Amino acid sequence: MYPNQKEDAKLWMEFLDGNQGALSRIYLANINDLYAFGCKFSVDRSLIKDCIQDLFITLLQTHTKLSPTDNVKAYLFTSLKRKIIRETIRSSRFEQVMERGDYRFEVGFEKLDTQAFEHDNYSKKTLAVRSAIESLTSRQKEALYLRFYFGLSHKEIAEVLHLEVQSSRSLINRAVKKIRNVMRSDKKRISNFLYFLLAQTS
Amino acid sequence: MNKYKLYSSTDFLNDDSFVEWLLKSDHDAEMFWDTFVEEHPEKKNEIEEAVEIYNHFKFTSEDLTLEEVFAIWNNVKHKSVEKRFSFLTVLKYAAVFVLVFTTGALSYYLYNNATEETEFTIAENKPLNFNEAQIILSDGKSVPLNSKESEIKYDATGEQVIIDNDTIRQAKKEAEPTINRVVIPYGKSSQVTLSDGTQVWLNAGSQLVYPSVFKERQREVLLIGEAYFNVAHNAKVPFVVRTEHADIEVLGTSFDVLAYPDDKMFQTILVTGSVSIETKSKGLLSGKNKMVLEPNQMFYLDKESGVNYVNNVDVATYTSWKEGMFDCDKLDLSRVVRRLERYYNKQIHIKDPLIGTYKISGKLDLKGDISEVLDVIQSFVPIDWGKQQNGDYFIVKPY
Repeated sequence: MYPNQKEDAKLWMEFLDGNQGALSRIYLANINDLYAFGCKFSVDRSLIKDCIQDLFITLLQTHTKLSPTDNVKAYLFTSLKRKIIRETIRSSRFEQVMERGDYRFEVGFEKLDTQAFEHDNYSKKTLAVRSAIESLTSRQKEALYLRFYFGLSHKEIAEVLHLEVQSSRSLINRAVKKIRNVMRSDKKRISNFLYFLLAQTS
Repeated sequence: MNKYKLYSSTDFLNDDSFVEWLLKSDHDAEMFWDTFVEEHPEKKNEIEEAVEIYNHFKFTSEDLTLEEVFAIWNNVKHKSVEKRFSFLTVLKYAAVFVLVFTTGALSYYLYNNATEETEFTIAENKPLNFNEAQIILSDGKSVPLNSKESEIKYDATGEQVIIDNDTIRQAKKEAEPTINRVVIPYGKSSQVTLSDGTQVWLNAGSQLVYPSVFKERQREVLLIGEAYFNVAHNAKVPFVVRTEHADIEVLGTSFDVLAYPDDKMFQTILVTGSVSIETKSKGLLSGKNKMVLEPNQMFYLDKESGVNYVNNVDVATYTSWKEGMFDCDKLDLSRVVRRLERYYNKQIHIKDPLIGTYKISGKLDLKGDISEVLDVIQSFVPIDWGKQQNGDYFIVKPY
C-alpha cells in the first residue's frame, strides 16, 4: 500500500459520484509521480505532459463509465503508460515494427559522488550493480522501479505490467536475485584483493 | 513473524511490508524489524544484504514546475468540455498551446489536506504579460502598476482597492471567491495590504495570488518569488502561504519567504512569532516534513536534493530589501549579483567563476542607480565592471 492510497480511493469514489473537484485533488497528489514515471519511457518531455493532460481529460469525459478502484495510482500509471507507448509509436518517423507490448524503460540513476569515485571500492561495486540493473529487460526495470521507488505492492505492479500477480512476483524475484549475485561476486573479488594485499605486507 | 525465519535477502525484498518499511520507516515498522533482528540475530546478514540491494535503486526523478502543473490542469478543464478532437496533434504546435493557456479562465487549484478544497479562479480576458507590473482583479481586468514601488490596499470587505491613491471597486459575487493576483516583474516591488490587515512586501520578479476578502475560516495565499509577510494576528484562523516546495502556516507573525522558481533553494526566515513549514513530498520516498521555526531562524531547503536544515541568522540580512537596502553577510558575489539582476531587471555577467565566490559583507543601498551599487561593490572586492553594448553589465578581474 502506498502512502495516500486511502485518500486517493476516497477521492476516486467522490469523483465517480460527479464531484469534479475530487479529480483535481487526485491530480495534484499524483502529478509529480506520474511525470517521474512517464519520463522513464520517453525523453520527449512535452509528449509526456500531453499524455498526462489527455489522461485526465479522458477521465473527466468518461467518468460515468469508470469503475471504483482502491488502487488509483496503479490505475493512473497503467493508463499513462498505455498512452505514452501508443503516442511514441505514432510519432516515431519510421514505420518501426514494434512488437505489441515492446517498449523502452530507462531507469536513470542518481549521480555518484565523483570525488570518491576513483579510489572507492563502493563506487566500483555500485557501477557493477548499476550496469547489471541496466542490462535487465525493460519490464524487469519497470517492475523494480515501481517496487523500490514508489513502493507499489505485487498486486499493483502486476496491474501496471498487465501480468498475473504470480508471474509479476517471479519476474521481480528473478531480477533481484540477478542483482544480488552480481553484488555478491563483486564482494568476493574485493575480499580476494584485500587478502592479496595482506599477503604482500606480511 | 515466523515466516521470516526462513527468509533470504531476496525473499525479504519480495515481501510487501518489508519494502514498505524501507520506503517509509514509520515507528511501528521500525519497532517490528528491530525486534525481529534482536530475536533472530542469524537473519541480520540477510536483512543487511536486502537493504544493500535496495540501496542500489537510487533513481533520478524529474519534477514539473508549479506553473506547468497548473497549466496542464487548466488545459484539462478547458479541453474536457469541448468536443474531443485530435487534440494531441494540435498541441504539437507550441504557439497554439500558449494561446490556449493564456486566454480564458485560469484556475489555480491548491491541494489542501483538510476536507475543504480551495479553488482560485481568475477570469482572464487577454494574455498575461509577465513583464508588466499589474494587478488582476476578479473580473479579469488588469490594472497596470506604474510606480517602481507600488502600494495596494484592500478594505475589510475586499470590495474596495486602493492602488497608489486611486480607488477601484470590484463587485463581489456571492458564490465564488474573488481572486486577485499581483504580478511584479524584475526591477519593481510592491506592498500589498490584504483584507485582514496582513501586509505583504513583494520583491522583484514575484507573484501573489489571494482572495480579495478571506473566507471566515481560511486565510490562504499563493506565492511565487519572494515576499515579506507581516501577518495580522488571528488565533482562530491560521494564515497559510503556499509555494511550490513548501507551505508555511502561521497565526500572527513576520517572516520572509524566498521561493523563486529559478533558484536552487527555498528559504523562510522568521522575524517574530512562530511559523510551521510543511515541505511537499518529492516522489513518495521522502514524505512530508513538518518543521517549526523560532524567531531569528532560517529554514533552508535545497530543491534538488531535498536536503534541508534550520539555523540561526541575522534576520536584517534577509529582510532589508523591503526598505530598499540589501544587507549581506559573507554572501557569495554570484548570489549578490543574482539579487541585483532581479532588483534592477538587468543582466550582469560574471566573466570569471572565481570572482563569483568572493564573499561580500555590508549594506548596499539599492535606492540609487545600478552603477552606483556596482561601484560600492568594487570598493569591497577586487573587481572591474563595465557595460556592454547591448545594455548588459559585466564583472571581470582587474588587470
